[in-house]
Amino acid sequence: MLEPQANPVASTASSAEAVLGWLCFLVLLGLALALIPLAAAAIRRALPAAARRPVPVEPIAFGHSPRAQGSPRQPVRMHRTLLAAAVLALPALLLLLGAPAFPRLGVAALEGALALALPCLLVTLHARRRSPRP
Amino acid sequence: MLGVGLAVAWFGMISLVLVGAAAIERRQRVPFSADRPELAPPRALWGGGQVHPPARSMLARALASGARIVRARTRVADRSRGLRFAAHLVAGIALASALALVPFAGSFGADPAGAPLVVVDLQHGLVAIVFFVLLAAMAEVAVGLAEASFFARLACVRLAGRVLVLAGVFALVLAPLAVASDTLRLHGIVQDQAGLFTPAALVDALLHDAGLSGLGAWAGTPIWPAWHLFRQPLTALLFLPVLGLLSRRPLALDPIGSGVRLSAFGHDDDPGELYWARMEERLASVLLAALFVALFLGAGALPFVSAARIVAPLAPFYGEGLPAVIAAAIEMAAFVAKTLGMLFVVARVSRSMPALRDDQWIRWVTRRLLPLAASNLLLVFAARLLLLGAAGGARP
Repeated sequence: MLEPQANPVASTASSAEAVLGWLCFLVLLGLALALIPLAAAAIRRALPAAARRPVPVEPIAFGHSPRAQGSPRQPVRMHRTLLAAAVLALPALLLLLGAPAFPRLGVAALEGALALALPCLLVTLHARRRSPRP
Repeated sequence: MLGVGLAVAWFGMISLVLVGAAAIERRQRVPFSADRPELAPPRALWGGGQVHPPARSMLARALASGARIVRARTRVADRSRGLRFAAHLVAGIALASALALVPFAGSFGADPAGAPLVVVDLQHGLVAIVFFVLLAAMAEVAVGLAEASFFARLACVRLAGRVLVLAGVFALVLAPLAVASDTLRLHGIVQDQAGLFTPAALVDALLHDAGLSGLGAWAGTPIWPAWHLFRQPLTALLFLPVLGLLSRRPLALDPIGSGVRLSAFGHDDDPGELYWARMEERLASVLLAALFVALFLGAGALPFVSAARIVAPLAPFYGEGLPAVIAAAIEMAAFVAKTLGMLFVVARVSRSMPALRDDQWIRWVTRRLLPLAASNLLLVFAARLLLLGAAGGARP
């Protein structure tokens, strides 16, 4: 198993130094990217008030097709995808966290992996049976 | 001061790569087709040919894009500007933080115990990368929530499902790297790719396991760089489409090219928002390329030439400090060159790929990439156990 680490920063640099470096990088990158919009805003402020008044725009409307209104199939499928994705993402993240310990555990890790994989396989097979190919 | 110095150096490298990415992006556009002239973008407005504007006009185009932002802002009714701004800000910070975790070379002075050449060296860097990429992608969902229409809400559900399923597959794709390197630390994964490796070692171990004589002495000769691109080619092949899909932005109107391109959520006509959305997209593609270089191409390492071979001949004349700085500079230049090459290849490949509909890519991810990623993890795990057994429990 991984040894518990008191300090999440792994290098010889101290945590404060790493945070300072991260902040420095973030500020430098942010300033570089914001340079053009900031310059544009400064120029815009020098324009007459009528020229820099925001232009109101109507939101885009896609209409309401009878098919979309008549059948809730598409939203239902989307919500089903969302729930399935959430169920998938959590074990995958757990697996990533445990991955370095696998070689050290050896074949014993297979038992844990199977305990994780079999319910996922069952759910996948069940979902596959219920959603026929369009 | 080491952290600040590394941050400034990394910022310089990322700035170079961002400028390069702006030039390479043109390669991503579909070339002009003589058979369908009506589909060609009207580029006469900005000068240049119909295929794409020449590279020498890049500065002029950048100035023109900057000038467009001066134009009066548009304000769409029923849209929360605060939420959109916050979402873009969170996405930008998440992408920049993920970039800060990417190691751009090995250790300072070619000493494995030396200071790692990375801005923030986290013990669980691989998990942090997944978290930041997920955060940046979920910020896109928040951009969609800023609109009150039914279709925007529906698109948010779709996008959230897409992001979560891709984050799961992304974690599965990265897991074999952690298994092979025995660590979640990104610097450790880069260090693991130093030197050379023996491609026939696995076959040799299999033959020994079956009681056969093995491949002989030549099987133990290291001939290739120990980059994960060669050691785990399937992981590298899976990594690119998954992170490509994860960092991809939805379609939006491109007023410059008069077409529809990847830029931001919603159809933004505001040049300011378009600028930020493009920068975010560019940062995401640079993160993809930098991560690929760090995880699969040995970061800034030169093939067959270790940093120690650069430092050792110079050390008797100049001491330890200057040769170490020269080696680090060479590795940083190599990292930038590899990242730009990666961006070029990705742009050419994505140009030749069709834009998939949502149902098509969901089927592709769940029925092709996901089983392949799980099989790859099992394969790497089995190979690792076999090699550990052949080495008598010692780390091969």
